[in-house]
Amino acid sequence: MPQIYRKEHGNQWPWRGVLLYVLPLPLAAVAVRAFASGDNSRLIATLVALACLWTGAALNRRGLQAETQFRRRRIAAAPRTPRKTLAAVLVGAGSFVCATWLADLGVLGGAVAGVMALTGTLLAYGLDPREDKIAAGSTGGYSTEEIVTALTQAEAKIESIAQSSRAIENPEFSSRLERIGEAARSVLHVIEDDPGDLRRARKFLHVYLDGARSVTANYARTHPDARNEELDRNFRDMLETIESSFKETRQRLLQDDAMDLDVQIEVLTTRLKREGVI
Amino acid sequence: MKRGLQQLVGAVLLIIAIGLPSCVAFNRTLADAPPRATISHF
Repeated sequence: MPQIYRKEHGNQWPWRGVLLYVLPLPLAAVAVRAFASGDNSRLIATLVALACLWTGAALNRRGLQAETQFRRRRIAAAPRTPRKTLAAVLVGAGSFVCATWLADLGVLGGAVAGVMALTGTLLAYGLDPREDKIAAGSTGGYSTEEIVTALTQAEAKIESIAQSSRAIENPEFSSRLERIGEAARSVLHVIEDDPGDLRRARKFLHVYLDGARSVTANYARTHPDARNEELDRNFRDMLETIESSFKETRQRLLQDDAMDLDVQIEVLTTRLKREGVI
Repeated sequence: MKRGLQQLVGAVLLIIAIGLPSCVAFNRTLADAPPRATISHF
């Protein structure tokens, strides 16, 4: 059963993973001191430890972001690079270098610290998602990869429309474009719920979204603040058509009304061609 | 609940394995520093 689209509000835990940046901070002071005193071996050990720890921290943050994206979607391919696992290895290596050569705990003490850091990173942040989230029910012959690619490309187009919208100062157009973005995302949610709809929605993903993106980008580029009533009226008409088409597409996908959807797409295609958008 | 406990244990391990050696290294750096010039040096 399709669910009502709810707008997502960014990252829920913006501070997750920051601890890995903060903990090695004293090493920055050690590096400065080693540089000032000309202690090159200590300087190199400190820089190696910091490089491992902070690269691990950055990789871990990226892994957490990829995981958030993965969990948000109902169909998703598992991240190709196991960032969080690589991050844990780097953090372990950094901790080993720090404990062995900078804190003088010896190789054994360093190894214990390294293993503890690796285990701690995995416990605190978890492992990377490994299995694809596969669509339930019929996929219409499409692989998960194909569905994910189509949805990701569509998301990028919606984001591009939102970016162009930010350059448009007219509040009416901005709010209409925001509604168009939400309507488009709700169509993507219908596809996620029933990937068998992808075949029928392909034209929507290409014609509608590309058309909406081109129209918006052209308007944003040529009329950022200049007022031209005729062009504004045309743009308003076009946005109205696109918005109603998006909403109807969603309805027709839900109703499995293939013929009506094709007719609707043809109508918008003709309109976009007439306006020279496609 | 279980996940929260895992995260807590993970954070504690990280503090011990990274924070502690970093602070020891920092402390050693301070201890190895040459003594500051005092009035008696002059």
